[in-house]
Amino acid sequence: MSGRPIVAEGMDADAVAAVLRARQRAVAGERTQRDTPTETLLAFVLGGVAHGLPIAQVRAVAMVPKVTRVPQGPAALLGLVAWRGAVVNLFDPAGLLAREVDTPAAMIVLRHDAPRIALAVDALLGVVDAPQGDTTPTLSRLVEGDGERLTRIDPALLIELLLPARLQEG
Amino acid sequence: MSVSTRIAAGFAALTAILLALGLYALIQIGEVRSTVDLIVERDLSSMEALNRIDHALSRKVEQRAALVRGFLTGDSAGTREATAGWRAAVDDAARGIAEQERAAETYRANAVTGLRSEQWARMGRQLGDAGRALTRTRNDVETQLAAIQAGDRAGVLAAEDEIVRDHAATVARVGQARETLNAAIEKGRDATRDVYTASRISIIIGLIVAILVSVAVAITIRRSIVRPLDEFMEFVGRIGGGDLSTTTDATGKDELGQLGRTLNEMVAGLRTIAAQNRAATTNLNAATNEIRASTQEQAASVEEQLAAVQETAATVDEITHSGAQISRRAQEVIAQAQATAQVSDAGLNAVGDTARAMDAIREQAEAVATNIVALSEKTQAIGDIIATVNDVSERSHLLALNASIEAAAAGEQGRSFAIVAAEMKLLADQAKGATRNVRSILGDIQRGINSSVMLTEEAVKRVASGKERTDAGHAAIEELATRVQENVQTFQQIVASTNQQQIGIEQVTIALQNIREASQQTASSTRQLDQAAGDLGELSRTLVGLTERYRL
Repeated sequence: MSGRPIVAEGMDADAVAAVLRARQRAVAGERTQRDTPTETLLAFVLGGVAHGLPIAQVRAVAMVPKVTRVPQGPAALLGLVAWRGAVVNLFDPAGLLAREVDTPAAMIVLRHDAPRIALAVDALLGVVDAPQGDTTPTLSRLVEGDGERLTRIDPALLIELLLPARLQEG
Repeated sequence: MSVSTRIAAGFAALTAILLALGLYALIQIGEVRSTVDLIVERDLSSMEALNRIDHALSRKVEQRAALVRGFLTGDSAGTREATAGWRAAVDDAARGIAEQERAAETYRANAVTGLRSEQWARMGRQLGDAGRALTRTRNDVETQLAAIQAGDRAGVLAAEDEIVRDHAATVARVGQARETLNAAIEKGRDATRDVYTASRISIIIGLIVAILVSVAVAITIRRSIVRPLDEFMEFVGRIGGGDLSTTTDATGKDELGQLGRTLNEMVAGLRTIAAQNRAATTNLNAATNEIRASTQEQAASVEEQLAAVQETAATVDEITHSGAQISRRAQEVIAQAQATAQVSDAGLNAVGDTARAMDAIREQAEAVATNIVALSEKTQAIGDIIATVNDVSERSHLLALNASIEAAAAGEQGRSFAIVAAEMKLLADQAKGATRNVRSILGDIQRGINSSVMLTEEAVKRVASGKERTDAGHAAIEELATRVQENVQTFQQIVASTNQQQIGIEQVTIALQNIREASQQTASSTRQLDQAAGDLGELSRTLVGLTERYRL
């Protein structure tokens, strides 16, 4: 669908897109809520692609603090970070999801205690509601939430793939 | 064996044969001569001896007749004289017969032939008989003389018959001896003829042998000389026909072999010369073609030169007219230059005003530049504030997300908090968008300020440059005024020079006329040269054809 580009005084393209998304969501939100059960996803950008992670599995989000590198660790382990008085393993999921990341700007701390796990991402987009599928859980699945397509990541499978056996045991 | 040795050997053999033949002929001639001398000497002496005997016998008869006549006539003195004569004659006859008899004996012993030996033996016998008959006659005459002494006429007459008979016998015997001598002479002539015949036959045989040997030697020498010469003639004929690739095989050790080797060397030399000749002729042909092309190009060039000279002559005419115009225009320019000098004084005043205005503009532009730099520093501070606001909005965004997460974790009780968190996030997003807009506008402002700074600096530079140019213009106008004065003088010189130029151009016109005549002569010469080059090319092609005759 093509048309005349929307121009607003004092707003850039991203701001215009956010306003349009909000209006779209306000118009279509009631119907989707009525049709199918939904889940809330935390949307983030990894390698230029929008991803979603169920927000129930997320403990918090933060800027990436100073990273301490661990020698001879797994390939996906970027290092250890200190977060709210605890040591968290910071992983880079881009290799597993076949994405390319330049410099991660934010991290997502998952609800996983032994060990504590955080994922490095390019940017955080926000919170979206997406229809909850009843299919067999897979590592990545394409869903549509709030009018945007994004790749839903299954956290359990991701953790299983990220952690070596000894770390899973705690 | 060399040819000279062969020829010398052949001539030596022929000379030896001829020498032997000549010696043999000389010996045979000597033999014939000695035989003839011997025969003639013996026959002549024998004939003289017989003649003497005959003469003595005749004298004896005459003396005896005188004796008898003196007796009959009584002439005693005459008788005595006749008796003495008779005795002397008888003695001569007897001595001659005896000598001839001994000579015949001697001749018989060493006669030329057997037949002549027999004749000499017969003559000896006949002369012996004659001697004995003479002795009888003498005895008879002695008897008659005794009768005469005694005066016995009858006894004298009686003895007459006996004397006549014995005398006749003596004469007959001597005549037989003469006949025998004639026979011996005949035999001697036969013997001489035999010796001559034998010598002739032997010399003819020797001549035939010499001729045969000469023919054999001649054939041998001819064969050894003429055959190689035939080969050489054929070889030389081939060379004459132009085939220089051949050589002769007759290269033995003799003089003809040397001749063959020399001919081969000569042909090799001729081959080298012919090859060089052919190469040189080919080069000559190529050079001639180049000469021909060059002469044709030269002819074309000369034609062009003629046309160019005529064009030049026309141009010189135009120059003459142009020179007159130049002279007129130079006069006009002198007048205008004097007017220009007056105008340049006004220009100098205007340029001075312009320079002062430029200085004022430069000072104002520098003040503008200082203000703009201060403004730029202020916008830098605004950029720092915007960065702080952006950081705050980022943290607010994270905080809103964390609030959403906590609200989701709180479940149904957190739903209202989730709405607040969403509003906070929206607020953070708006703040972020506003800072982004401000940053964009600030970027535009900074770019504008930078552009203004640069434009102002450029304006200052241009004003300075304009000042310099105005100063340069001032100096240029002064220079111009000076130059205009110089130009007036220069144009006056131009007028004078143009007049001299007219004179020079007239000389140039005459020179061009000469050049045109020379070019026409050159064109004629070039045509002759082209003709000569064509003849030379024909000659070189003929030479190439001639050298093609030789096969190398």
